[in-house]
Amino acid sequence: MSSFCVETEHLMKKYSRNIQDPAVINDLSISIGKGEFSVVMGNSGSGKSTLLYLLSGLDFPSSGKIWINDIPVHNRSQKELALMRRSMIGFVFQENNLIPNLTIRENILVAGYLVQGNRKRVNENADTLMKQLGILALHDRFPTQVSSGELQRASIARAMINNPLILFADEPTGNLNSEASNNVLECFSNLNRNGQTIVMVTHDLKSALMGSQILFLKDGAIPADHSLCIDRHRPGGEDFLFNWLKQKGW
Amino acid sequence: MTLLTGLSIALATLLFSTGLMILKSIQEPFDDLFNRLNASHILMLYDVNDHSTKDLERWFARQPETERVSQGSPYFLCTGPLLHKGNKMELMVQLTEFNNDHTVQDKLMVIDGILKEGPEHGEIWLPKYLANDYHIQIGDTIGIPGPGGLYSVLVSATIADPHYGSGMVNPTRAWLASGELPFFVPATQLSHTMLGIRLKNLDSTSVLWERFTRNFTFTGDNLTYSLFKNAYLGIYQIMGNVILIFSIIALLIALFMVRTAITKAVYDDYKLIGVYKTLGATPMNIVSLYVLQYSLLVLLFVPVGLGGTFYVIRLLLSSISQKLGAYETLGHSQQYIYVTSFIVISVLVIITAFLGSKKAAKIEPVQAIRVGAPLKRFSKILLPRNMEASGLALPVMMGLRLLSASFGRSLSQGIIILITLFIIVFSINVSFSFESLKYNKPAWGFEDGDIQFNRRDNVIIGLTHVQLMEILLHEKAIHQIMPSSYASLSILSKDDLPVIEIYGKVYSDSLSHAGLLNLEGKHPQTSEEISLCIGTARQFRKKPGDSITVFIEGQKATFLVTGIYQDVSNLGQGFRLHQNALKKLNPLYSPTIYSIKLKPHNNVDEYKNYLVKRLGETIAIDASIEERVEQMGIISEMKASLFALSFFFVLIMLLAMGSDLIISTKENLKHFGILKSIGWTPAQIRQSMVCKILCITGVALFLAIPMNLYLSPMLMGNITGGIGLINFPFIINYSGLLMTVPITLLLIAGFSWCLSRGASLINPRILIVS
Repeated sequence: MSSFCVETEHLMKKYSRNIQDPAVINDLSISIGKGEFSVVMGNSGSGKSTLLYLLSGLDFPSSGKIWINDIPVHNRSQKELALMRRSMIGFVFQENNLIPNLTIRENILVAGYLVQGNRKRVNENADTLMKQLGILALHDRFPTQVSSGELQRASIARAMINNPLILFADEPTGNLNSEASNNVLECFSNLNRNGQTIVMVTHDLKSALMGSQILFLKDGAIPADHSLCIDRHRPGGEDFLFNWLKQKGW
Repeated sequence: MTLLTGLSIALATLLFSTGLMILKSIQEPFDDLFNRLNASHILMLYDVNDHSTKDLERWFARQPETERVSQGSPYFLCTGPLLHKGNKMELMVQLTEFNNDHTVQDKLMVIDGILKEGPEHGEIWLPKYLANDYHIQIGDTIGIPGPGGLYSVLVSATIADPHYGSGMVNPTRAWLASGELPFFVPATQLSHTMLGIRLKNLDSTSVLWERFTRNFTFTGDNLTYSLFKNAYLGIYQIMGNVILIFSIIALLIALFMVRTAITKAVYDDYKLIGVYKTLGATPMNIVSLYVLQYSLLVLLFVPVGLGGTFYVIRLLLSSISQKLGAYETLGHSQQYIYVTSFIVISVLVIITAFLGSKKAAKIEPVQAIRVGAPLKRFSKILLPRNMEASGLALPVMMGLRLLSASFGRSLSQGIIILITLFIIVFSINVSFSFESLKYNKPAWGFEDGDIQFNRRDNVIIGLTHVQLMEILLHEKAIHQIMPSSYASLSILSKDDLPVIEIYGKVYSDSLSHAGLLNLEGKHPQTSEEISLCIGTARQFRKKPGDSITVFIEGQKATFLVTGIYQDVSNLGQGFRLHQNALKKLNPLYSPTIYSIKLKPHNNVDEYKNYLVKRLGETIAIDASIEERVEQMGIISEMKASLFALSFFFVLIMLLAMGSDLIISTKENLKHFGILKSIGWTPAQIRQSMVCKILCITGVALFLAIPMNLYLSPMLMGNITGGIGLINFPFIINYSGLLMTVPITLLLIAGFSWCLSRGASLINPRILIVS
């Protein structure tokens, strides 16, 4: 068994059928190790979100291969992908994407009940998660009745309810103020500390510094020198990262 | 969505204009034939020993209302079975002589056979329906049992007969050459004559008849235009009323769909409307955008509905024409109804579009551009509120949430399903009630007998009533014998003038033994008592306990009304007497009709054959009511029309459901994307949509069946009240009801499963796009 949680090989994604139009993801081969907190960065239109959607099985590649925990993702049917997503993958969107006519707690349970037959245990897990993320008091409120930071934490709880192998996050702090943003990042950091593999797309340097490696995506590919292992406790890390990104054309 | 709305408009138009057309225009082929053949509006049948034809002719000819009086045509009432290819035709026929006057009044139109003025010696002309029912071909031989033995005649033509062509008037009529009757009927028995009076104006019938009864004590029978017309068109009147009532519901559904579609469109176009307004569009400009769209929809789909009506009416007309034997199918008032329907439906749709789009006119441009459409509020009223406490499967729970998310639309959807189920259950039970006539005869006004026959007087060695009863009472298979006879009486006004002549029945035993029922009061028992049919009782405002003065058996008599009953056989007119009453007036009275109820486990057909074998020509077996109804195709036509009505409503329901599913998919696009992203399979998402519809259907089923069982008898009572059935004999078809539940659920589940495919194809990428 490989030590990688996610691997891709010659991954390609094109939205246009015109051969001359460039690919959004172009011949990308990457490996993300288990327990890593990888941060995907890049300029607008570089293909960050597309990469995340391909890796998480929410979208289909035009060509190439993807494995999650050695299980191929690229040749799965809609139903098989759904079954994989519910048990192996968690996803946190930039917008919380909670279902407005379900309470915070129900939004979490609706994902948990999909996998686990024992509803009592799911309820307990949901309570534990909500407590960990500081939203237990909001359990019976509807998404329109809580703040955006709290919603994002609820999204994380929903993504984590089935103990996924890997958690994908697409600019999870993009719509949050700094306090809410810090809270959310703190959650990610705690999860990673407990061994959770995380792949996060972000524009924010502070968020990026929470990760263990940076993958800089350029025109749909990650050239050889465009990945960086970082030490989040290193003094002046933000400046260092800023300069590194500048060099890569950020 | 637009297509579905358009189709619902087309279907509502179809039903509405078909209902109107049946009620207003379908009579035209009958009237057309009646006028072309210069048919008599009043047909008098009498014994020349009682009335002088010359006197009657002269009197009627002098009346200002009379257009023409025909010559008297002798006829012989043949009660015995006619023979065709060795088979007995169990029906009574008035064998009528054709004369030269029939080339001017009461003309006959030859449909099949050699075209000539009238039948020649040795030939017979039959109504088209009779030839169809008994598969009689031109050139076949018919044996007529006469007092002198069997007389054979050749069928040389089938004809259109406006008086007797429907098959609903019993006895029926066939035509022989002038002077033919004496060949097989002794002159002493040839005393019956038919005289026709054609009026200038139909409305003068009652005035003329009232004047006639003041001058003559008429003891014969008179048949009028309305009776003949009802015989042809009564069933279509019922169908027309049913369709028109339900078409209004269909129209309301279509208008609801228009309103829903506009609301949805306004919601979708919210920002765009804001932009239009900033560019200077007035509220009226915005409203006109939607009104114009729906005007176009009306222009496209109302003609489609009217085209459907044209086709349906042609089918109905061809069915009537087949009975009439005429091929003129286009009525003059059809264009008028098409135009009326077009205007009514168009105006209603445009008004609905106008009212629906007024919301768009009120949109504030700044808010629309900056914020977009206001967020929809979700209703929290539906269970399960507490998901964790509920043991329901996830798709069911999500289905319920989808339902509550758009509660108003779900409620409307439920009402449409409820109406459709109501109509389906209504159709099943009403059809079954008609089919069950033979098991439920008393409720329709008939005796509860298995076999009915006439005792024949005009045979060489006949049986008296006493002799026949003696024989029948020894029959082990017979459970009950109910002797009776037909009678007529004239109801007298306060001035002792006859107002109307009605036909009824006189029973020789307790009426309860015949299974007869009353709506109120009790059966007549003594010589002073009478019960009245509901139509007669209502016309003369009589109720049990009142008295009524009549002219019967040549005498004036006053009876106490003891009961009111219903009877479908004579359009609500009639009376019932015990033989005590008639014997008091005519001591020689003896019954001629015998209704027999067999003991259980006896085969009716076998016993009929046995009776004919045993009693020979002394009796003539009548076709049973169920056989007559079946011959006339009433049940099949009623079933076909109810089936068509249900079918149209199922279509409307599916269209409404389709439009709801499409709107629901659009509204929940993002939610379905979220569910997919957290691992819901496409099938689970579809299941949740199907569950939502099934929940609505379940509630609709739960309400529709009891509602139907309660309301249908009342509804049918109102519809059939005009033909003498105010308490419709409603019978519940339990097996049909049981079948309805799974079939409806399966149909709706299958349909919504197919239409929910759109939801399963949603790509979670929309979560980035949005």
